[in-house]
Amino acid sequence: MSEIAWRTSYTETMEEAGRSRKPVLLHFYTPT
Amino acid sequence: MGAVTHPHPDVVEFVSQHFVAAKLNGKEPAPDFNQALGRGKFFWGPLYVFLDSRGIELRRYLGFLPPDEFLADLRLVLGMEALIHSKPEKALEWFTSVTDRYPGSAASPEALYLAGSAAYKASGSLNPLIEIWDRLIAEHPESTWAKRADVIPDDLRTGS
Repeated sequence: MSEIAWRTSYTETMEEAGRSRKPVLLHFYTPT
Repeated sequence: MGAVTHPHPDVVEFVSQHFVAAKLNGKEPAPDFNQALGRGKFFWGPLYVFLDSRGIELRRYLGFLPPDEFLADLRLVLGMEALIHSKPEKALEWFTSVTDRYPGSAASPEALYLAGSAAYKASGSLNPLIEIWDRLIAEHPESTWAKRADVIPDDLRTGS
């Protein structure tokens, strides 16, 4: 496992959280 | 720092095991970007927001943390999640793991404060809370968490 499997859709993230019952880490960023 | 912390093997493993993670671009926001932000604003990045699996906010903060501080904070978040889901014993395990594994971390005083709360909820007694908060005050006297814990009147202490 070499990197975090970042999702890019909040909606899909919450759907997956609901399925897996895992909490959610949201990283808001501005590309530089 | 994100370039150091996010790829760190311990961070990758812990996040993958315990969280669903999303990276949301504030420069080209997706249609559901504001929904993800909740009632907050994205005025500076990075911004981290933690939610439970139903969308209840657990924690938010600004800025990158080095790997060990980030890992300590993730354990704090898991303790908070257990606490709001009425699992105080599990919460106590997570908070204790912060102070055991990362005793010098910035999250450690807050973990002790919340461990007191979890211990009270788990036992129904103030005694374990007082014991943990006394430890917090002794070990981290300059912490604002110690100041918040310094509220127990003498007449609530056993034997007084």
